[in-house]
Amino acid sequence: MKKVVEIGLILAGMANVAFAGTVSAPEIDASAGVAAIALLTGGILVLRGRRRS
Amino acid sequence: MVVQPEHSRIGTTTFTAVIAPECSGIEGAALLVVFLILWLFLFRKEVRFPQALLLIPGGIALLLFLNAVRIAVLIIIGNAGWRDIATQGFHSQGGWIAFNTVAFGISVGARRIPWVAKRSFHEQLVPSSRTGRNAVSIYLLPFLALLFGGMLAKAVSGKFEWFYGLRLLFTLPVLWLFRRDYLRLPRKWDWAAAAVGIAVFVMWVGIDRSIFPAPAAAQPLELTNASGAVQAVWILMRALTAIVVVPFAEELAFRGYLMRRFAGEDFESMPPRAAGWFAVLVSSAFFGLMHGSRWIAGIIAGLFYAILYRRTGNLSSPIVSHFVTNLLLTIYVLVFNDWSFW
Repeated sequence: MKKVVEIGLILAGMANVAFAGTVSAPEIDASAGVAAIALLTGGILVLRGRRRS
Repeated sequence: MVVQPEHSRIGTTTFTAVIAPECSGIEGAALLVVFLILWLFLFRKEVRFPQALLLIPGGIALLLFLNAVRIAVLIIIGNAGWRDIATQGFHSQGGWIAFNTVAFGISVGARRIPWVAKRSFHEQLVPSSRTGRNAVSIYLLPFLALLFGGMLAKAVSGKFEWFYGLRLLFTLPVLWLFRRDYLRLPRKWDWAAAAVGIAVFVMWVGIDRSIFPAPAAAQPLELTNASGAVQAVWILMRALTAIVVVPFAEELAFRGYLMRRFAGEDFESMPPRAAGWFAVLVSSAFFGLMHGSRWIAGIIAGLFYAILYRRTGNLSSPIVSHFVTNLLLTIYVLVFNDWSFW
């Protein structure tokens, strides 16, 4: 299941690159999206790693 | 106080904000719905239905509230005279900070609320979270601290990122926290690793200067106009982040964790040689995507580091390589005054 989360993270990152720059001043800025989604997914992975250990 | 609902404008007499449709919270709410559907599907065995579905409207309501707070903070920052920070750094990062707060908050909170979490999972969480060693955090937390520091630094910056050093200040304590685990990792000085680092540096600059020519950039005007002491501190923080912190944090995350995780669930006991080409390619692709417009160079660099790690079986090799690359890039920026690489 973790692998799925990781691949989802990668796809989300790719989508953010693809849509980067479509809106000049967005609430959810696509150019900052890769880092933000990586932070969120990484946080969830750490959280789940904690339970398994 | 200026309130003009007909123009979607709100603010003070010195600073007003127009709430465009894309700033209204709709984008964030849509993204949260996608995230929560994915989350509920992946962890469906751990939560109770139908009550878990209430997380969706609850999350949207919380996000819309935080969006109102974000707009209020933006106006306060602009009204205080920091117009650049309000309209640039905070504007683009505030939405993500709110989104991540709600999404991560739900991920943590839902599993701790007995009404939502299934009993077996709720009980399992308590004892193990207090004891035991979390291998994932050892490999991922430095990188997450680096990302968080970067997000915060951008949120409090205008055109120029004055607080770049927040990355260093957030990541160093995490590296220190897990220092005993890192000292236990096998390490060996390897000249081939240094050579790979030089090759990646040549490739990185070469792609930028010949294949996809990008104009060289002089030192940012904001930094040039600052006092000598401020310049020195900023450059020192920037260089230390690139040379010391980034190689450790990124290699632990992308090679130490992600590459081996694609090879098997128990990633820590997985020898790097067991990582197949899929693991090498996907971890390098994601590493490349983290480098924004230089994603092609990033993917190639990731491949270099990943193959080196596979060959040596030693995480210190890609760390040394990455260190050499970033050291040379730092020297290049400062000697040739080409700040496009920073």
